[in-house]
Amino acid sequence: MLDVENLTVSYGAISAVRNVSITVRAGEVVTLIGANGAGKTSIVKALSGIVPKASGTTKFRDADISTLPAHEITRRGLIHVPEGRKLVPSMTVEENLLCGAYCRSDKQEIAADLDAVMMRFPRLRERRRQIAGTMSGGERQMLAIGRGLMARPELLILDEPSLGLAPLLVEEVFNIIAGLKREGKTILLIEQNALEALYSSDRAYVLRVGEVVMSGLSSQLAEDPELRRAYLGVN
Amino acid sequence: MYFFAIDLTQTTIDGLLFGSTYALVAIGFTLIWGLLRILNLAHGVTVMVGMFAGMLSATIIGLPFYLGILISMCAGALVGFLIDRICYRPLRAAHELVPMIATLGFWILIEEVFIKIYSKFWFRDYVPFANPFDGAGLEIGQIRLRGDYLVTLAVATLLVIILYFLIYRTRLGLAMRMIAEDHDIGSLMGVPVGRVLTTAFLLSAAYGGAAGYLLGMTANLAGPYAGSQAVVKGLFSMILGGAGSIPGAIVGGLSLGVLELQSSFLFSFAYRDAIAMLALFLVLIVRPQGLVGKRTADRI
Ligand SMILES: Nc1ncnc2c1ncn2[C@@H]1O[C@H](COP(=O)(O)OP(=O)(O)OP(=O)(O)O)[C@@H](O)[C@H]1O
Ligand SMILES: [Mg+2]
Repeated sequence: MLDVENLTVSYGAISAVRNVSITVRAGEVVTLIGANGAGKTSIVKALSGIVPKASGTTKFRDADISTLPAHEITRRGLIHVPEGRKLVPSMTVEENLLCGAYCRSDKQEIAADLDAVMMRFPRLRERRRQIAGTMSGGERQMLAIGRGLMARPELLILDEPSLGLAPLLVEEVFNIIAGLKREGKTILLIEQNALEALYSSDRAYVLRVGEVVMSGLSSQLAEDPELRRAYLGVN
Repeated sequence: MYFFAIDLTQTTIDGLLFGSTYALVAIGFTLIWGLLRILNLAHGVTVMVGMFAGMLSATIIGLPFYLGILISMCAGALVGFLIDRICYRPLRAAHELVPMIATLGFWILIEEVFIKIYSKFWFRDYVPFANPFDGAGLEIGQIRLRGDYLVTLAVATLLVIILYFLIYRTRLGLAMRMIAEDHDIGSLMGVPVGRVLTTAFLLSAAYGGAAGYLLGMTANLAGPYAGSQAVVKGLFSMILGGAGSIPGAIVGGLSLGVLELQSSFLFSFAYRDAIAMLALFLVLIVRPQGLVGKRTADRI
């Protein structure tokens, strides 16, 4: 579904990502883990087109999207739920969800999906008229994921969905991801919570200062003693 | 005392009616500020071009009011398109100050060139602008509502309603509200951000063009410095009301209208602008976010 080859991302003279290659197949949950500043966000921003790629190619559903502008990439179904949620705080919950469906025109289907998202996250239904800026962190994250789903993603990229949430809510977020996985959604998950991310994914890439240093099946990586010591902080 | 009270009321009402032109100019500034955090200093050019397009259609050709105002809006929009293509698009990757300085350059350049052309055709500071509503009016007790002021308010109200409809009831509006928050949000939701911004430039410039027509008509004059004056009045209104806020632009414009007429009525015409500036200064000390602006997080 997604094929990234030799992606390099630079900010001026600093190169944040060097020669990264990543593959995500349909129906898979793939996770990208790594410490702060490893370049995870830079990779997905380059994929969705909101930061320029210094070099490398991205193929998505058999088409080369390397040079497409961000809004075209979204229209093809690569939906990026950004780090920090990036909601529109002055809009209501419902309006934020409709933003997700911006590039769709099928009114009835949109209404049905709106209902489905609110079924999935009952909190959002209760608060559909509430201004997003006044919601709690957990509610905002659900809204951000819900907004992503409103776009009918072919590939859903979640950048640190558990960031800044209390442990109970972190668990809730991973439950949501497990639910999406059961439904067969294709997901690229970025996480600091490396162990949790490995448990909820099929395959993983481990990043270190802009490069992929390990990759493989999540179940194997979770048992890898070196990885556990170096990146997961467990023995 | 009684007559003073009547005059005071009359001046306030005139100020509110006339202030609607300032509100229209301020809306143009506030739209671009809200979406781009750029002061579009070239916005006055849209007012000046709208005014002269209106003068040509009303005085020289003799077209009816509604056609003239549409022509002015189109002429303004054309200028808006140029501002987008010359001052914003090529420079959007640069620091916000860069496109702003480009709009300053655009303003100065166009105004200078226009004055050269103007002085070839007309040998006066002003040319007459036909006002079909001259002399018409409505008497309510001791108060008189000038016909052209009423028309001005009606047009401004209609344009504000259209703007609200666009922003809160259409896809374009949804896109603009995303972009006003963060351009990346728009991109990630599939909004062609550049195209929406072009539309915003066209829209704000069309409103500037309409304001130009109304300013010319109510003054019965068109002058080549109208753009510069509009920049001052429009920015003043926007900041008085609260930058980036449409209700703010409206409140600011109407307040400025009242403030100006009251200060020339109560004090003297000569101190009109000075008194208005003093009032702005005092308001901003008490409410730095403007009369109706929201306090927003620091951008630094
Ligand atoms: N806009 C930018 N300009 C300059 N440097 C940047 C920019 N964005 C990111 N960087 C740098 O690029 C590197 C990678 O950052 P990135 O945000 O991709 O890391 P990350 O893995 O997502 O980290 P985190 O887990 O903290 O979100 C960092 O060194 C960062 O300082
Ligand atoms: Mg990150």
